[in-house]
Amino acid sequence: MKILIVEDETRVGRFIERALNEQAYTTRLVHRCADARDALAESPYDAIVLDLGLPDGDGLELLREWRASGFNEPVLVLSARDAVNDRIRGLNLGADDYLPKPFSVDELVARLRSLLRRHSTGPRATVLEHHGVRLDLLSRIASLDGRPVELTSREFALLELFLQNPRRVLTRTFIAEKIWEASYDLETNLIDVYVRRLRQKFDRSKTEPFIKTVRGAGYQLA
Amino acid sequence: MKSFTVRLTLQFAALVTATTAAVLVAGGFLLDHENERGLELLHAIEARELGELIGRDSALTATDIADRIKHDADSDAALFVIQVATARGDVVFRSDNLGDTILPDLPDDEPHWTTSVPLLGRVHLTEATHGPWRIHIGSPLEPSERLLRDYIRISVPLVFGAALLSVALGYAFSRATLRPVRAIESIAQRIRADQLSDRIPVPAGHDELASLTTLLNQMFDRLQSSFEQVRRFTADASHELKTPLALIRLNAEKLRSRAQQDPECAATVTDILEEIARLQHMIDRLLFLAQTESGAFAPALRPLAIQTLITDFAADATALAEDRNTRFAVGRNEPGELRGEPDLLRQLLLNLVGNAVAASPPGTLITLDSFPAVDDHWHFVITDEGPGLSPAQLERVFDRFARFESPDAASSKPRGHGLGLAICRSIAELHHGSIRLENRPDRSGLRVTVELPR
Repeated sequence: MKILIVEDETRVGRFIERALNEQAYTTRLVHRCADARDALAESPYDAIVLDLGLPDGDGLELLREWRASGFNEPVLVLSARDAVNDRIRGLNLGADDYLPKPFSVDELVARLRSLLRRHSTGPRATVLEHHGVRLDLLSRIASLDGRPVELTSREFALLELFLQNPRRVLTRTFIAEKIWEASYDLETNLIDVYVRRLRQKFDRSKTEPFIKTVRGAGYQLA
Repeated sequence: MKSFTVRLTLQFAALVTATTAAVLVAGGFLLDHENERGLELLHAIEARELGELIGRDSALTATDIADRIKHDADSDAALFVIQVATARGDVVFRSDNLGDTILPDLPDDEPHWTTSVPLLGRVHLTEATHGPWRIHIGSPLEPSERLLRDYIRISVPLVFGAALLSVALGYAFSRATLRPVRAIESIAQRIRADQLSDRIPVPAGHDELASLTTLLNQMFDRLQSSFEQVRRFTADASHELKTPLALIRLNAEKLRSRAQQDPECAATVTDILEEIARLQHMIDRLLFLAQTESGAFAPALRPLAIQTLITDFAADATALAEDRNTRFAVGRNEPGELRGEPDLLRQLLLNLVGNAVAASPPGTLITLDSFPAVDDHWHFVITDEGPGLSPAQLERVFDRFARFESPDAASSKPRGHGLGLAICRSIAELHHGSIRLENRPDRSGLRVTVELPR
């Protein structure tokens, strides 16, 4: 898997590069629009990490060019600018995902991996299971150790998100995007509230929570 | 119709009507005056004729005089009444059309006089002396009065006609006069944050409108440049603030992964990461406020089914309330449509319910009502049973970083960034609406009303 990183801030770019290399991805880091064009013309890439604020142009312009010329691989957009407008414009122009700065490098790797997986594999599982928690996506029934558990539609969606990303730390931003389709921050502690409700229903004991809090990052399945 | 057009029309109409009326009144006076002058000329000619017929012989008897002028007096009976008297005042001849009436003597020095005479009505008299005779010639004023009445009968409708016509003309005139102003108005309305480059075409010439237009355009230039400064500033500020923040975060994460063996070090790094998240959140909020308040951010509004929006929202609000052992209920949930951005509206309502939950003692009720008001606005009303706010707090509730002690301040750690209500107000204003906070009149508690145009 070969990934092109377009990021003008060298130190941020190196962080991304190192993290992706650790995951055994091959990377190439460029800092300018012109270099990015050349790089893509020279060799094919499986995915692109694209920063929008580049010294010689707008990353969104590059994205439009690539999509117009038939480049179909996933593109993950990074931006430090106006998050809301960039996200909407980026997704409209054919970006597959959007990550506002400052981001966690783990989050970036996780999102990129899920983009590549979505791109390559076929239909997904209809039953998700994790340590006795079972979620049937077709009949929409949740159970714990064989006993059915009543869930509201939000709780069901949140549990499904956790079970689909069993090892990943889910940030609040990611959860808000996926469950509430929110381009804006939810402002309240709504996500914490729903995680608490899931814990109440699925925790076997107080000492071993079913969903654990990763301070400064988000939540993760235990 | 704008009031200025109305005012201009009415002023124009009043002016035209008053002028018409004044001209007609003056005409009436002139007509009356000229009529009398004409009669006086005729009287002078008739008096000379009669004088020549009578002669200067003072010995003539009444019969002689009658012989000499009777024929003449009869033939002019339709025009004149005639009376001849001696210098002493003895009447020696009276024309038949006088009947029993004797014409009075005129005051001294007055050759002409108007007086009422029995049977004849008002009569205009002329007195002429011919030798020993004093000749009175009079003409009934009835025909000229009839003429004047006719004149007035025509004039009154003329004035009304002029009034009506001048209203119509005045309206057309003021519309035409104000056309350039309306052009300026319509373009100025179009010039908003998302279309600041438009300018009003400057009319040809060097008149007042041209200079006004130039002035307005200069103002738009300044406005555009300051808008662009805000845009550039927010873009620059977010880039300049977030890039170092990104590096700090990346470095902190690297540190944390290496500090697993040292719990104290790991905890410190975790604290740093949490503070970075808070800072990031705060920067986002401040940029959002800066952009909405400057008009640099205008979300696309689209028609929304309100009832569905509220039903969806109720599930989240109930979860928020139950988490703090309070209750949430939807009161009125009327069907209807509203132009809005669903994400932002949900954020607005979540924020308000979140505040209400935070202020509510356990077991109390938070209510949301959603209904169309009589004034063409849609109202979302959130009421709680908390302590409400003091007048001083109500006054600065929308200030940035304003945070209020909740009644159980000791038990709850400070949450949030004090920007919540400022953001709520920004969102309401992005929807061209407003937000209002007041204490409940029926009991303790706060009532928040969001009014959005439908």
